Amino acid sequence: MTKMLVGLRDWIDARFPLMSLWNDHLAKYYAPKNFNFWYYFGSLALLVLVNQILTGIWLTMSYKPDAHLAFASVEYIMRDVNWGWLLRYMHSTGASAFFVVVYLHMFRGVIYGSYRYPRELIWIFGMLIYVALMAEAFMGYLLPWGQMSYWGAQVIISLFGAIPYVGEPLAQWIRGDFVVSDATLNRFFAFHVIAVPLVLLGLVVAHIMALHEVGSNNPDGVEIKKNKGPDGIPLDGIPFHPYYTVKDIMGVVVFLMVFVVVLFFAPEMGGWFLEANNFIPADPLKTPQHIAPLWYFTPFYAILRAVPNKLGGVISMGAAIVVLFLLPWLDRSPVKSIRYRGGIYKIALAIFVVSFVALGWLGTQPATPTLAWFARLFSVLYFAFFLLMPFYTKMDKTKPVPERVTFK
Amino acid sequence: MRTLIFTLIIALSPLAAGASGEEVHLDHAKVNLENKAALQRGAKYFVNYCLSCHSAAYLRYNRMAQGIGVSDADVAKNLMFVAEKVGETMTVAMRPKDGAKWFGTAPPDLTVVSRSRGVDWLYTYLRTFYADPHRPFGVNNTAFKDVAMPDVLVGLEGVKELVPPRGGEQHDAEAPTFELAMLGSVCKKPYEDLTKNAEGVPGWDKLGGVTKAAYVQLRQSASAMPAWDDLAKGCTQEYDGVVNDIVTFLSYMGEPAQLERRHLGVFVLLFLAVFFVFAYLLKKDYWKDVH
Repeated sequence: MTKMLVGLRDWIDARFPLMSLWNDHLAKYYAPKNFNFWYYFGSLALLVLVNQILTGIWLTMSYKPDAHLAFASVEYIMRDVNWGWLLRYMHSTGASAFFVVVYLHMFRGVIYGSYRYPRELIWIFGMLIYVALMAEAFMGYLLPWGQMSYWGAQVIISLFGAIPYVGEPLAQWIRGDFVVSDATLNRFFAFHVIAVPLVLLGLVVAHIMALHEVGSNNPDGVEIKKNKGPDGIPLDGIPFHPYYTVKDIMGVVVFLMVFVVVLFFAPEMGGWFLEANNFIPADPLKTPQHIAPLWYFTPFYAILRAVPNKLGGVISMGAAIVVLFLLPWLDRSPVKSIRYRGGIYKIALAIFVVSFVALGWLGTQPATPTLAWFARLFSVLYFAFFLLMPFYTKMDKTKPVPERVTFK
Repeated sequence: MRTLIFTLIIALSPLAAGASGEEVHLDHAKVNLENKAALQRGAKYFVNYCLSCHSAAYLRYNRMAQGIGVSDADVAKNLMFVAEKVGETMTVAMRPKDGAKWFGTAPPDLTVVSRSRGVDWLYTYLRTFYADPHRPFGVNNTAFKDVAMPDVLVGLEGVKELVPPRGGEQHDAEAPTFELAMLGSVCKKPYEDLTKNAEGVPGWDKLGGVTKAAYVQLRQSASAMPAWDDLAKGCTQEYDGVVNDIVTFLSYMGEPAQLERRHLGVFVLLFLAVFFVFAYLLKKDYWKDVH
């Protein structure tokens, strides 16, 4: 039996780089041995991606991308399709879970300087994944064709209208109509189920290939490839498989426990994952009193609203995302990891985290004058974190970085 | 183009101006989907009082039968008035256009209303109708001001009047107070309970639809009759129970898989807990040589 399987493997290997792929990316990919809690979220993002694709395929089998049928078809899935409710909740909870793990994954990159030389391109690919993910989530949210689906899309697409000269025609071109309508639903469906997922998968492959080309960073920000043994293997590296595969299985189980608690006991998550208004079918004649996007967009939505001028708001919101792409070149610190950075950076980071979370909350609230001023304050702090980074990271007193990685 | 700009201004206006949130005082519904008797009573009220104008177009009769714990045959016999087969969804004959003409707005489908409005809101709303001669159907509602819907449960509940709050203005956050002005059919049970051992009191059949003034006059000749306030209290309790049953059913209807979901969740969590032990031991074993 074993002989037969080995024979099969060799037969394939003579025709396809099976063993070299296996070795390059798993069995002989040496990862630093000191990965901590923050390093679970990359593999978890991959898990959630697979969850979204698989549940998405099955949802597509019963969903109808038609303005007259969409809302009813979702309820049909929730009631009449065997295990339809489970698939739907796995998909809707998965959407929010995706952003949870991606935000934590990005934060890991920020605190340990994983975007720094030689990993700038990994960060760029990652940011592109993030942008594609936002597009994917935005278009997916239109599909249930509830009031929030409809009016959220209406508001966001109308933002393109703020661009001078080409804005209005551009918004119309995106919608395929003068307002969000059946045409919009149909094209968003096409983008959501095939175009954007293809882009996402391609970007994920590029992200991982770039990572495996240069090797993983670690909580110390030390390059393990600088210290190799006589066999050419980094002294502080361990093969990804089996060490990190078994470790990640543990992380997966813990993640699934949290995921399952939401999925089975609070799938609406108190309105944060599924909004109450979205259980009212889309009505182009009735604007809801308060339109708020889902939580993962709200920091940017708050920045958009913080600027009194519409075009200014759109530019600010775009800039809030673009500035993230520039992170590798804004950071001038001689060290990568927060462990060896000085107090100024730590304070700046703390202010940034508070601002981002506060903006996220403000984005869900009706914009009263007081809250609008808070949104302005936190928007300024958000941008200050990035734009002042070249100065404060240079000024900051850093600690000496050890030669080898440490366990903490 | 102008319509579009107008739409966008409306769409974005809450962002700029700050939407004045319509906060109303909500009473808490006690929804227990394991209580099949409550679900069955709720279903009975729903098909009798709601389903002539409001549809529940995403729920099938036989799915409901399974959820409330009765047989398909019983549903067909007792709860199905217009549909022919138990596999049909709970639609209504009234066309939305006619509904809009008769009520000013088409009665919305109620299948998922418990998810859009929330059970507490529904529980409050169905208990806050009061007589208001200025409205087309003679009723208004404190949870939903100037609502288009007539008070279809008035025969059960009786007629209520809104007690003007002290100081005049009704504040949204505080609970409104009502006074019963006419007996409804839910009062039968409390009346009979209160007059169980009394002699020389009129039977309930003499009292249906009696106003407060008429009742007080009647009581002058039969002093063993319960005081109006005591009876009214009993009526309110009884009616709260009726509405709680309706809301329980609406909650079931909003998401029929609720119970199944929670039951399954427990088993999935238990499985993961066991899986974690093995995952942890596996990791520990592999990592024992990493220092």
